[in-house]
Amino acid sequence: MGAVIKVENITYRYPLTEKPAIKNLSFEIEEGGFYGIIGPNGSGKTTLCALLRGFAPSFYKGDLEGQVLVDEKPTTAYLEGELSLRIGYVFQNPFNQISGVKDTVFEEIAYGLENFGVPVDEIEDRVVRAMKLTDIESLAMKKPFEISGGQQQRMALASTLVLEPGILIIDEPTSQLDPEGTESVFKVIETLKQTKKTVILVEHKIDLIAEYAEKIIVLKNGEAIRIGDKQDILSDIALEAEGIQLPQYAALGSRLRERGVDLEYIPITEKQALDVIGKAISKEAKTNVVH
Amino acid sequence: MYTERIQIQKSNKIEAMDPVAKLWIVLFYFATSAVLGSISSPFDGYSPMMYFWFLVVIALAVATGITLRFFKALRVVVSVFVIVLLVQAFIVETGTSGEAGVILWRWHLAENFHPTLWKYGLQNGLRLGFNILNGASIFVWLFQSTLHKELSHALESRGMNHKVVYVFLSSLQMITVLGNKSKTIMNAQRARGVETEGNIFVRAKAFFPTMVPLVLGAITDMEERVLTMESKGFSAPSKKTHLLKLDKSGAEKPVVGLFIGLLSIVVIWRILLWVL
Repeated sequence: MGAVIKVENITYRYPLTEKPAIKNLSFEIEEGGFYGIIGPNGSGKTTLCALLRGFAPSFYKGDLEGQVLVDEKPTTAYLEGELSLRIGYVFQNPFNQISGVKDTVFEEIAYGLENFGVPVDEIEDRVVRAMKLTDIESLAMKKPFEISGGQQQRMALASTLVLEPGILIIDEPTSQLDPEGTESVFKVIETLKQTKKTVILVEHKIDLIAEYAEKIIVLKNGEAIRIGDKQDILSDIALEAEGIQLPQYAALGSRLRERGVDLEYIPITEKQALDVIGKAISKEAKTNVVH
Repeated sequence: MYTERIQIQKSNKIEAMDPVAKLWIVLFYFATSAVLGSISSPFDGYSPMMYFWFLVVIALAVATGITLRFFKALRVVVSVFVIVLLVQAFIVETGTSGEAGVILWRWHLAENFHPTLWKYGLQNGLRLGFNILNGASIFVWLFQSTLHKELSHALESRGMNHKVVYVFLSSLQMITVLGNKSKTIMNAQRARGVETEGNIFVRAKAFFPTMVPLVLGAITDMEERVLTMESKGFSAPSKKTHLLKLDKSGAEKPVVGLFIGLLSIVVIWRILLWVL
């Protein structure tokens, strides 16, 4: 599969600042891939997402060196609204993603389609599909401001998915949600993984990134310190020294290795941990029987 | 199924009128008020008709079938009317002519306390109060008989810029949202030990700790909201569609015609007074 987004040696500064928020960054996003962006606070994760979507520099202004290409075309060359159909964007705060002009969840989700002039006959089918995908059909006639945070975030996801974008950027969707809300949002993200959309997810909950992402981009002070396969990156204990939190299973695996447990590899998910630790226990038991 | 459920169902034909026709009624009402206001009476130099003109709005509200909610919403206007009337009647002795004020009634409640009802103040209070009542009551009728989304959709479909319509609609919805947010901030500040209840001075002191996070929060939230709107194709150049359908009820022509008729009668009356 080809690259849908190409980031070519970009450096970006916000207006009135000298220090770049993003420095010398280059990578490609493959079609259908699931990418996780991680890094400490202030490392440039949200800025990178804004650059990929074209919000920077068109909305934020500032200076951009290099270019971001979406389908081989620079983001700066797209017309207003054009990128919305190609790239969906879900923000951190579910409350701020409500348009404030619609009375029901159904109308809120349909708003984007109305803006793009989709025929009325088609709108209902598409909205119902998006509501089913995000499991909020039962809320269709409720008021957008009167549902819970998790439900609002799923409504925001539905409002984005209804436009059927090929690429989806999700910026810390659970940072303001309780565990129940987080779980409901990640159930939707799990479903998205099966739809083969290109997903770029920023998330502090590293165990969830380990579970869902395929490739990882690690940012620190605006620079990409690692880009690659999640297994290689999230099991690298050296990243802890860079202030990057590793999945709890990777940390456990590393500690076990330090204490002499012979692990085949460092696990990063629960499934892998059960597998690799189970094998180590069996091996140890066999060795004890021989002796 | 859902598209049908979001449509606005109204059984009363006047209530179900096209919102733009209702705006025309408001316009003709104001035009008639202006002409009526120029007809002076020998009593106070002001049109006696103005004292009864708002009865037209009451008749309209009854015909629209919204009597109860019209009067509920009108309570605020009536209380403003009463305050203006009392303040004027008991405080304003005379106009700018310099003549001595005419006392209609004086109470000798205490040695140095004699509340006095002044003729000029009473007339002025009635004049101002009825101006407020006349002007506000027609808007009360308009907004009690028309949903905000109906009005904005009608205006947009007649060519009003969708950005202006968005500002109008979202501002109205945000009043409730910000009200709820301020309650949350008040509770948070109370939990931090800020006194928010008590006499007027205590409440005034709590005003800034409540307002600053509310206003700053609204400003910082704006950026994300703007980008969300952009993501939803708000500025897309394509022609927009609308799920909401607005049909004419059939009462538009007769009711607007009635108001044009009223205006015509008042204008002819005014001209006759000049001529005769």
